[in-house]
Amino acid sequence: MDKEETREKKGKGCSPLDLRQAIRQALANQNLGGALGRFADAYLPSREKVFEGRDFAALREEIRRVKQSTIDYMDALAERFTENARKRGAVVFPAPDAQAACAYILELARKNSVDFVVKSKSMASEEIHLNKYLEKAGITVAETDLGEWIIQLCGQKPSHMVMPAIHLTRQEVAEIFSHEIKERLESDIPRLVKVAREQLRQKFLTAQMGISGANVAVAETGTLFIMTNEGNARLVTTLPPIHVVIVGLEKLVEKLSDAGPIFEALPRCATAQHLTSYLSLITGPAQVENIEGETGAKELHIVLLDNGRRKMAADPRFRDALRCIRCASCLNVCPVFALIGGHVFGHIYTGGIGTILTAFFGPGREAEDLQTLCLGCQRCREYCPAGIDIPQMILDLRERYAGGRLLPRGQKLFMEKVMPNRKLFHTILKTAARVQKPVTKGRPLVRHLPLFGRGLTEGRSLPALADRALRDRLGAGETAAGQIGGQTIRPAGEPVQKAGFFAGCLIDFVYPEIGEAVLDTLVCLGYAPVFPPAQNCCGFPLEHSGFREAAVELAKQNIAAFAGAGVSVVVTACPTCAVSLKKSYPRLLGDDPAWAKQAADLAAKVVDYASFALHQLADRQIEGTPFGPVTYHDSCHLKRSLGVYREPRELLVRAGAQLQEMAWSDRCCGFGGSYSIQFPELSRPILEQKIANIAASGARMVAMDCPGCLLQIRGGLDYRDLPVKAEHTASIIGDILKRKFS
Amino acid sequence: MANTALDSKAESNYRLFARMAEAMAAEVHRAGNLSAAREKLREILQALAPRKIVAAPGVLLARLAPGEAAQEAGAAFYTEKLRRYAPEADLGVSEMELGIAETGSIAQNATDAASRLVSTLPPVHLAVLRTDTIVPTLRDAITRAGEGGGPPPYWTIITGPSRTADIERVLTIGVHGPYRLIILAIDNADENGNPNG
Repeated sequence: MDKEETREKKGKGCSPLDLRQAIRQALANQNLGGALGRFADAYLPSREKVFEGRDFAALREEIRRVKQSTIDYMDALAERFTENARKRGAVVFPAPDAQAACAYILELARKNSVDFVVKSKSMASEEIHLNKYLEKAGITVAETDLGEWIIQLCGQKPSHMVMPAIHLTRQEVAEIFSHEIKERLESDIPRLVKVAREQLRQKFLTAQMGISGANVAVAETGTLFIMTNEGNARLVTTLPPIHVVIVGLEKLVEKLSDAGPIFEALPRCATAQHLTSYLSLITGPAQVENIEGETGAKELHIVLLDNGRRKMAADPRFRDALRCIRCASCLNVCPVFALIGGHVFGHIYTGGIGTILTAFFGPGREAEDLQTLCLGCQRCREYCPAGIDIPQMILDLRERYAGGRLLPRGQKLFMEKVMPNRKLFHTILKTAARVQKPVTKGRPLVRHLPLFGRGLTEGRSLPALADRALRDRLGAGETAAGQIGGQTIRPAGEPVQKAGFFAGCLIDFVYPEIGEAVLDTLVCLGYAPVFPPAQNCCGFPLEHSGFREAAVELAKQNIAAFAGAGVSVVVTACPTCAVSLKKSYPRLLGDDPAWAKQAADLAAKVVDYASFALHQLADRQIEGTPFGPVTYHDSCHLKRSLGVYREPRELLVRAGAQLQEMAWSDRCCGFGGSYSIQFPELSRPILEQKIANIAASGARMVAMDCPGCLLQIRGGLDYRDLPVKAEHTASIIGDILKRKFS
Repeated sequence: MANTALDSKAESNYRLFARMAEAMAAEVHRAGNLSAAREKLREILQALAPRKIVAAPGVLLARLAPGEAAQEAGAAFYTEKLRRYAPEADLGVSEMELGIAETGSIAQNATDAASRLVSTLPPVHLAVLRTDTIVPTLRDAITRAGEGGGPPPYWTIITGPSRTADIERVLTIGVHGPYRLIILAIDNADENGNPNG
């Protein structure tokens, strides 16, 4: 067996190399990219339409509450469900794992001389690899969901939880069906669907057993809810005399009415439908009729599947993932999923939630690689109808795998050992600023980096490190208020307050001019800015790469740096730093009695630049000369983690900008910190979409509030020689204020 | 053919129901009373020209005398051995327990195999229901399903015809279930036409 074959046998995800290769293949597949891209564009507007007049936040809260008791009382609900379903005549088999579930179903089939089974879509059955198990024992299994049948015929796996065959074109489906029915078929979709109807109809009519999943299992009544669009589940549960339902423990709810919010959200989130064509409630065996017209009760078997769910429920960091109702919203809004699909970004369960579920229900090694694919843009959290913090759980997975196998050793070492040592870290940065000169030739943007990976400068230019870091420009200590022309907006006589400035690495070492603009702003607003030189990296990149301990060390350094500064507020012009200081520190240090209070104190003082400036200006006018059409890019952390998107726009408009919104202003730019270094091949196409949207807006300037986005977007614009300027809001506002007050 | 016998709540439920059902590609007809409904049924059968019809028994349906209408249309009409006849029938007829306004759905207790055979296997499903059974929301319908000691063994909610978007996300109507769903809503379904009778 040669090497290639071994890899083939093991499937993807066996080595970092395989994941890279899979990404390359997916990116090269234009059908896939086209289908997923079109869907990503169409999904949100359609979804918005079916949610019209509904309070999504309230619905989400209701689902959260229902599913939280599923998690809290899983065992009790399982017991009640079992008791009530049995009372109604069902046979309930509690399956601790995949093996037990498969064995039970095989035994049942054998006892009833079943050799042909029809199945309607069930992720749980995919999870336990039931088809393979039954087929090995000589039982034929036919998938009947159109998408599932297509991929069964060509021996693939689902690429999406709701649309399993989204990666295949009509031509490919025609090819697959032609092979199956041994007749040349045109690639006409209605005709192909008709072929599926005819082929599968015979299977429904002759199968001796039907197997389905379920969307909800109600403990108080023993009821199972099953929803489909095609009608296959109704046939699977109506025609064969035996019906087997495989349902995971996380599908349990207490009361019948608990299903209400779930089915209000599920079809709207999954396929932007008010309701699917069919929703059936099965409570005990219904009637079945044979060909002679004789009727009797069906046999109903319910396999209640654990297979890692109880373990997940017991894990405080991951238990909330059991709230998932499998709507695939998180896949549908994920910029990375839209590029590579579920064959790469997923195992059985796909995308962000799939990564987490795979870590518990599937092989752990798969999840270890999958977690690296998350860009951290937080978009999925915004749309999850169960309020699951998927990005945070992916971080927790990352910590569990200490960065994963894909992170180069050098980078690991740098993050774990060098960055927490501020002096060493900063010395290295300053040395790099000096030795880069032959490469940058004094230019601020570098298009090619010799020796380094070419991926870094493919599709974007990189900024050079600044000649002098912000910390060196400032000298140590405080800058007096009123230094600029002596004039501020603060009325004379009012005491001057101190405002801390947290720069973050990018502003300190790459964009010191943004830092100066922030300091100018603070002065003009009547504050005495304080820049404690002991401040270090905020720690976010470390936490994001799975190095919690190193992140904790940095948190402590920064808390200490600001502790004695006597500031009433800490302003930062980097949303990622803001999220780190405001949200991560209290979480990282919450259990540490020596630091918890200090972390909370600092967190309470931290504010992003735009919110601070707008609030301080209150109703004062600042308009400069009108400066034409400006479009605004929403940074992921600013909009989704801090909820700030109105403030910078209002600031810009008041400063004289004519705001011209781009399409999808809050889609990620693809930077994601070290992500763009780890996966330049994924970061680049996401940046390309962003650049295209900026260009299409017609604006001559794109403003944003994140130095990371600025690095990415400015680099992308320069690489394409587009006549659009990219600026940090602070640079624009700081400049105007400085001119006004000096 | 609006009927003043319906109160304004029921009337607005029906309007939303019809709009949503049509948006989901169902065809909706309305009849003020039984004789109008019989006439409507005849029209529908004339237009469909089915060769074989299967029907699930029901109180409301019996009042429409679908067998007679089938005979007039020249179709064979089966109400028994449906497992044998439904796969080759051109039309399945059944009655529904209630409608859902916000989703344009119809729902029934489908415990009897007959009710499912006629609504899943033939290419066209004709469903009759009383206009005044339409409830406002899906949640109302789920509550109704559980009334009287828990849900029956099989309870079904149907919204439009069978559909798929599994190939290139192109919506295609009619996969495993019916291609067409025709709904006939009857305002006053009492034998003597008296709203109180």
